Amino acid sequence: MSLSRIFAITQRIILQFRRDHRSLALIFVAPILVMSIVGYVFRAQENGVTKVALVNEDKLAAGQTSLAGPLIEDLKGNTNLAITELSRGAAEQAVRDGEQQVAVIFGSDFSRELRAGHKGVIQTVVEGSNPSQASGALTAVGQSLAGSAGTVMRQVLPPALAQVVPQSVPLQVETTRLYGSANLTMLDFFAPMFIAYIGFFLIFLLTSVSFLRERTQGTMERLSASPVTRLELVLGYMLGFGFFAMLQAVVMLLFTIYVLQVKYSGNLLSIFVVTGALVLGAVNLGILLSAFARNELQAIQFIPIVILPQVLLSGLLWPVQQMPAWLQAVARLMPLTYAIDALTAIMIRGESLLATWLPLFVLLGFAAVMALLAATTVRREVA
Amino acid sequence: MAMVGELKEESMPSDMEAAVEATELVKQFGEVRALDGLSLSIRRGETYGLLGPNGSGKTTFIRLIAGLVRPTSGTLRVMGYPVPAQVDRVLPHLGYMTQLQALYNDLSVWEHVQFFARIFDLRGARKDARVRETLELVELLARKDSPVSTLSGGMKQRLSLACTLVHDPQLVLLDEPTVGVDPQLRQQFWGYFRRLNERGVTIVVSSHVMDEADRCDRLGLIRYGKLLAQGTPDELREMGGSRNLEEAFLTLAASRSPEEVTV
Repeated sequence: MSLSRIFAITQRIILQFRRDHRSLALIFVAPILVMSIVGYVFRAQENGVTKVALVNEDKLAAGQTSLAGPLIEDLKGNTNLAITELSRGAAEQAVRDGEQQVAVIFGSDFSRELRAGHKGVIQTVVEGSNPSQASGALTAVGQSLAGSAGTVMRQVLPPALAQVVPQSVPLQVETTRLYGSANLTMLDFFAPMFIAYIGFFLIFLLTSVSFLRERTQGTMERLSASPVTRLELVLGYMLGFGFFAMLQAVVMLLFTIYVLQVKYSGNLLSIFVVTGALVLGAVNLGILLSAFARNELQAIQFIPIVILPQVLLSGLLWPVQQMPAWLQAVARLMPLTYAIDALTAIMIRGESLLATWLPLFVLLGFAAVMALLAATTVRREVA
Repeated sequence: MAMVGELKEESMPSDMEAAVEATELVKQFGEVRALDGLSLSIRRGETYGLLGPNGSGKTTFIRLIAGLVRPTSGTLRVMGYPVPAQVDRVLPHLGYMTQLQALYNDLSVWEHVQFFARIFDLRGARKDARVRETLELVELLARKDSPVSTLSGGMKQRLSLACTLVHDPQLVLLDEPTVGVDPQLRQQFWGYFRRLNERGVTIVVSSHVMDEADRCDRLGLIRYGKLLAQGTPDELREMGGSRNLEEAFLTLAASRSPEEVTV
């Protein structure tokens, strides 16, 4: 094995990229774009204000105060809610159109029923096709109403009893967090996963297509008639694309930490090492699979097989430990599962690289096995 | 580089040995028999032309010499070494120009030739000197910083040749090097080949252009994966009974039908 031949291939790849502006953009601009969108969306969710259409049809007998009044005042005072007063028809239409997330309707006999000792019904209308959004909106409204219920009760009840009613409904949830803190946001939680996905996906895509091109444009034939061995070729590629993958990881990490202000507790260098181990595997997997494609389209066709299952199973949507046993077994075969394990351990729980040795070891092992498999598929006999 | 020296000085078999010695070579690709018992010998330092129609087995033979395919049966010795068994000993001294213009478009001319110099283990000052010499030979030195993608077709072909020659190979395989090349450039190419030949380099060139064939020291006519006839251009003209090489070739091809040759 000749190091100088390996470096010749590595240097060639780096030189080629200098003039290949599209690929450079794919490596450095695309991740920033995706992370920006992810960051923006998650941040918007965090500071999310629920839009409420308010319909007040409460009819009052002469001389009575509205019991809906204090509830409405309280809704309006809630900074998590944006209240617009509308007629019933307009409110329903607005919810249907998605302009308002929820309509809160006080019927015409709200005060009367309540005074008569019956249930006061507050109607809420949600669009409902997105269950999580609907329940989010209802929760926001429900919390606000529960908060002001006491005030209303006091107005209805005779003064003597009203003293007993607490200021607000005595419901409080106390949560204990083992890791992170109350201000650990959704974005902080998902950032490590997205770093892993984007790195793996882009580098895999780029390597498999580049290596495939080596075959289709005939340069592989020339390299095969030179002293370069198969393993030298694969290692040269691994270092060349690994170089760009590492740069990409640096850019992506700096962007998420300093621009998106994602909080992390572990060591920055540890995060970088894990990302590096993951993308080296992606390079070698790309070379390996390019052997089974005849053209660029066929290389792209590997994405649904290689990338999507990893996105679904490696912990982004559901924690691996909560999946059915057989799916867990499948997830345990995927490098992204280990990368996310290690990255969340380091970034959120602040663990050291030593503590995450197992997933790191698996990632490096994956890269090594893929390199050897790739070398066996790069045949002398190109036929 | 150490290996290059070693091979040249001691372990290179005697000069008397043929550059390429093929005996009863057969190569079967599935149903297709690309080579069907080809036997021929190419001397050191000569320019040997492989003539034959498309699909006659010329490219397969060249790829066998480069160790890119394994013969189904028969033996092949290249520069004294059995191929593909010991092709690793041959490759450092072999220059192979493929039919396809196989180039990296995103490199500059200099970077491109330098890459090939480096994978053939040239380093440092010697590498730079060889890259320069080779670019001078193919008259591309003035364009050394141009990206390959900006070169004309003829320039690309010359660059491709430079990459084949940069490591100063002893045996050069050229698979239809002048296909799609204008007459002037073809003239130029044969000028380069002549100069290599003068330095003792063995050249194996496949072609189906007859005026090129005339410039070779010896020719082998290949058809249906077999050697139909072999000799100097003049000998072949005599055999074919025509002063025109193309006519001679057609006569020879017709007079020796595959059935006849098989006997």
